[in-house]
Amino acid sequence: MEYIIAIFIGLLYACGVYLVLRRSIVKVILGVFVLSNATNLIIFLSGGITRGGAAFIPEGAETVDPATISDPLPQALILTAIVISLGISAYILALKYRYFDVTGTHDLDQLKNTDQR
Amino acid sequence: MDNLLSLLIALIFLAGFATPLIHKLAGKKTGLLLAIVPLSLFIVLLLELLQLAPRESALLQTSVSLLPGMDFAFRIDGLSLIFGLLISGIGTLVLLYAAFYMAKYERQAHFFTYLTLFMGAMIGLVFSDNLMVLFIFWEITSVTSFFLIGFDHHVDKSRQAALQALLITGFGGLCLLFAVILTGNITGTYVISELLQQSIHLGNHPQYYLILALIILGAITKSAQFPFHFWLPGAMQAPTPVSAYLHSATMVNAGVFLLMRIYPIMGGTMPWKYALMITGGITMFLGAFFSMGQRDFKRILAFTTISALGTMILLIGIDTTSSLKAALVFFIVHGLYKGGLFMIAGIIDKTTGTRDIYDLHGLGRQLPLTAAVTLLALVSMAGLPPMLGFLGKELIYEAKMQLPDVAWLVLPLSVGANIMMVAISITVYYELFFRRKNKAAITLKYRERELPFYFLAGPVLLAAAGLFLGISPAFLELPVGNGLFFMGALTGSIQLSLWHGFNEVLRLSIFTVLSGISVFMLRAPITRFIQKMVRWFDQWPLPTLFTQLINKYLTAAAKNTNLLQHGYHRFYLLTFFLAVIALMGLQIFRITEIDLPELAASPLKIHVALLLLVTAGAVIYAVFSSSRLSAILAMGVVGYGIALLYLYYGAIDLAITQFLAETVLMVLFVMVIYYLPAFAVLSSRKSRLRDGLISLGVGTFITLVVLKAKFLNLETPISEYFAARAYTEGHGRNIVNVILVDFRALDTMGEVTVLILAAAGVYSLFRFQIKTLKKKKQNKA
Amino acid sequence: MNNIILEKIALLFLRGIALMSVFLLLRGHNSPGGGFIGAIVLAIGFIFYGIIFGSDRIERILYFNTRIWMGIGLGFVLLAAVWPVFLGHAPLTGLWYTGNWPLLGEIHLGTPLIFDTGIFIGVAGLILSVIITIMEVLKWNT
Repeated sequence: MEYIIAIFIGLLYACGVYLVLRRSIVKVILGVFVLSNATNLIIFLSGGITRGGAAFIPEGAETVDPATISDPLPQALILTAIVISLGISAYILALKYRYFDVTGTHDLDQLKNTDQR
Repeated sequence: MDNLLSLLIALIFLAGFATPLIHKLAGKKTGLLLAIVPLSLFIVLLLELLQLAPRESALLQTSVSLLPGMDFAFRIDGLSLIFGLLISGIGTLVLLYAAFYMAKYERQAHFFTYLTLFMGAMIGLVFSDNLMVLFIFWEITSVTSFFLIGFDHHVDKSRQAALQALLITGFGGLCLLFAVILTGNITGTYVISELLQQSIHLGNHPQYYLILALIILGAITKSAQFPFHFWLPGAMQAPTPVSAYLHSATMVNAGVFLLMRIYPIMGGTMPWKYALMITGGITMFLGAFFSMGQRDFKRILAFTTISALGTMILLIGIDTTSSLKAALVFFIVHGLYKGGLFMIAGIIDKTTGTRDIYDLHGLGRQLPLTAAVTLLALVSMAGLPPMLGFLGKELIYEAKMQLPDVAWLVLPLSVGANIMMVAISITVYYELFFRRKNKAAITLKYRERELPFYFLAGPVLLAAAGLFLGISPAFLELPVGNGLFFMGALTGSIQLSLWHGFNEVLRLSIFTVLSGISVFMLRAPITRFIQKMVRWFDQWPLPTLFTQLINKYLTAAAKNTNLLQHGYHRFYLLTFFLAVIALMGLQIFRITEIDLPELAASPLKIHVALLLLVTAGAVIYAVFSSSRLSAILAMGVVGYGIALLYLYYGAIDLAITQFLAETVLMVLFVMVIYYLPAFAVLSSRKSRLRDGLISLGVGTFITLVVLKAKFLNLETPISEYFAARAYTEGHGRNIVNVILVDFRALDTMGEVTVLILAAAGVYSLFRFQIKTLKKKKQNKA
Repeated sequence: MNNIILEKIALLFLRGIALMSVFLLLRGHNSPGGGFIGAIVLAIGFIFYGIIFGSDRIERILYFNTRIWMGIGLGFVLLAAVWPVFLGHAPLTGLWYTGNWPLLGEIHLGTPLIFDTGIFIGVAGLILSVIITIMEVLKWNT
C-alpha cells in the first residue's frame, strides 16, 4: 500500500509541477493547490498509515496505547497546514483577480518587468 | 557621577529624536533650546577638567552593557576631554548660530534633528572606550553628515556633494571596521582601556601592515587627505552652520582623533611615519596653495581646513613628543579659529548676500564688530602673536626642526604652506574690510545692530577664547599633558608659553610672515598662476572621475542583476526544481545503508487503491482540461479524495477539516472564475514537452524520497508522549485537538497570525476599489 | 430576493448552523471537532446565506466588521497566552479548573478552551473577511 501511495504522491507532484510551470496564471494557482495537498499527504504518510483507530483516548481510560491509534502529531500539523493553505489560496486568488483587473493579461511572461530596466 | 557621561550622551540623542516635537512647541527658538544640552555637557566636562591630574589614569571609566562583548563603554582622559570640550563648546555656539541662520529655511526640524544626532555621535566617538562602539558612532557621523551636507536636497550639486562625502567616508568606515575586527581578533579585546593597559603593540604582528593600511585609509578618508580631499570643498554646499561645525572641530577631525587614539597600539613604526608624513605633507601644501586661487570665502576656508588637517596628520606622522604635543595644540587652535571664520562667512553671506570676497569691500565701517572678530581669527590662522595660533605654529616649527633626516623636505613644505596661510589671511581681510574709493558702498540686508546677539556670540566667544588661551597657554598644559600621557609619548610635564625666546623658530616665523606679506603684495600674478594651476588640475577632475567610477559600477551591477533576474517566473521555478533534484538526489543516494524491505509494507486494499485511481484520474484531467470550471471541479474531486484517504486511515478531524476547507475554496474559486480569462494554450509544443519531462522527473524523485523516508525510522515517535499525557495533563480525549490548543499552541498561534495577515492582504488589495464602489452606491441612493 | 418565507427559513438555517458550530467547538477537546472545524462550518453557513442575499446582509448580522472579529479572536488567543504568565507559568501553559457542578457533573474548564475559542472567532473572521471582500468587489452585495 505504501508503494501505491508513494507513487500517487509522485503523480500529484508531477501534475503540480507541470501546472506551476505554465504561463497561464490560473493554472499556476491550481498547481500550487495540488502541490500543497501532495505535501500534506507526505507528512501524513511519514506518521505511518497502519489502519488503526482514530487518535482518541477512550471514555473512562487515562491513556491509550500509541500502537493502536494513528499518529496524532502529523495530523495536527496537517490540520494547521490545510487551514493555512486555505488562507493562502484565498489570498493568491484575490491577488490574481486584482492583477488581471489591473493588467488585463493572464500571461505570466507579460509580468516579467521589475523595477530594474 | 559615574554614569553622568553616558546619560548626557543618551540625552543628546534623545534631544535629537525629540527635536521634531520641540520644534512644534518652540518654533524658531528650537536651536536656542537645544543648545542647553551641549552646554550642560560642556560645563560637566569643564568640571572634569579641573579634577584632571597630569598623569593619572583615565578620569572616568563607565560602561552600559547592551550587547554581550560590546558594552557601551566611555572614558574620559586628556585626549577625549580636549576633543569633547571643543565639540560640545562649538556645538553649543553652532546651535545658537543656526537658530538665526536657519530661521528662513524650510524643514528646520529636520535640520536640527540631524545636527543634534551628529553632535551626539561625535561626542560618543571621542569618549568611546570600545573600538566597536567607536566604529558605530563613526558611521553615524558619516550618515548624519550626509543628510547635513545634502540639506538643500533640491539642488543637484548639493545632492552630489553629499553622496560623494557619504561614499568616501563610508568606504573609510568599512576599512575601519575590518581593522577593528582584525585588532580585536589579535588582542582578544575591543576595549581601548584594556588595550592601553596591556601596552600591546601590534608592530611585530604579521597582519600589522594590513591593519595599519586599513586604519590609515579610514582616517585619511574621513579627514579629507590627498587623494580623498575633494569631498571637503564639495561639502561647502551645506548650510554654513553645518560647515562651521563639521569642518572646524568635528567630522574631519575624527580621523585625526582616531590616529591619536590608536597611536599607542600601532603607531610609531616606519610605515606609520612615512605613510602619514607623505599624505599629510602633500595635503598640507596643496590645501594652502589652492586656497589662494579661490574666490568664495567658504571655499577658501575649506582649502585651508584641508591644509590644517594635513598639518595635523603630518605632525602625528613625525612621531616625536613635541610633534604630538604640537598636533594636539594645533587641533585646539584650528577648532577655535576655523569655527569662528566659518560663522563669519555665514554672517557676511547673510548681510550682503554673497560670499565672493572679490565682490566685497569696505565692510569694516559697516560691520565693525565682525571686522574686529575676523581680525583676531585671521591673526590666529596666520599664526601671529598674541593669538593661540602663534603658539601652535611655533610648536609645529619646533617639532619639524627636530627631525634631522626629513627636515629638509618637511620644513620647506611647512614654511611654504604657512606663507600661503599668512598671505590668504591678509588677502581675505583686505578684500573684505578695506574701503576702495572707486567702488560704490555695499548695500546690506541687515545692519550689525539688527542681528541678534546669539548670532554673533559664536565667532566672538571663539575669538576671545583663542586670545585668552594665547596669552595664558598654561591652562592647556594639564589636558594636553594628560592626553600625551595616554598616547604614551610624555616623559615629563610640559610647558606652554607664548614667548619662547629669540631662537631659530622665531626667526623662521618672522621669515614666514615677511614672505607672506610679499606674497600678498604680489597676489595678482600669484593668484592668476594658481588659477591656471587649478585649471590644469581640472583636466583630471577627481570628483567627476569619482562619479564616473560609481556610475560604471552601477551599470555593471545592473547588467549582472538583469542576467540573474530575468523576470520569467517559469524559469525561476525551473532552476529551483532542477537544483532541488540535483542536491537532494545526491544526498539521498549517499545514504546507502538502509535496506528497503526491512519494514514490511502494509497489505494492498482494493477499495483504497480504487479511490486513489479515481483521484489520480481527476488530477490528470485537471491538468489537461481546457475548461476552467471542469478543471476546478476536478480539483474538488482531488481534495475530497484525499479527505477520504485521511478518513480511512483514522484521521477524523483531518478529514472533516479537509472536506470543509475544500468546500470553501471551491465556492471561492467558482465565484471568481468567471471574472477571469479562459484557458489558452500559450506555450509551444516543445516547451510543454520539456516541462512534462521535468515534472515527471520531479514526481519520480519525490516518490523515491517518500519511500526512503518512510522506511527510515530514526527515533521513537514523539506521539507516545502526547498519547500518554493528553488526558492526564491536557484534560482532553481528542489527542489532535489537545496538541493543537495545548501542547503545540505556539504553532497554532503563529498560524492564526499568518491567516489574519492573509486576510489583511486581501482586504488591502481591494480597499480602494471597495471604497469607490460604496461611494457610487451611496450617490445612486 | 424579497421572498419573506425564504428569508425566514434561511435565517433559521443559519442559526442552526451557528449553534452547531459552537457545539463542534465545545466538544472538540474530547471528540472530533474543535476551533478550526467549528469556524469553517460557521463560515460556510454565512457564505450560503451571503450567496442568496448578498454580502451586505452578512455584515449586518455580524454587527462588527470582520476585521474587528479577527482582532477579537486574536485577543482571545493572546489572553490564553498571557494569562499563565501572571500566575508565574510559561506563556501558553494550560491552566485548568476542575469542579463538580450539580447539573452538569464533572467539568473541566481551562485556558486551552479560551485559546480554541480565539481560533474559532479568528478563523471564521478570516474566511468571512476574504469572502465579503471578494463579494463586494464582484458587486455581489445586494
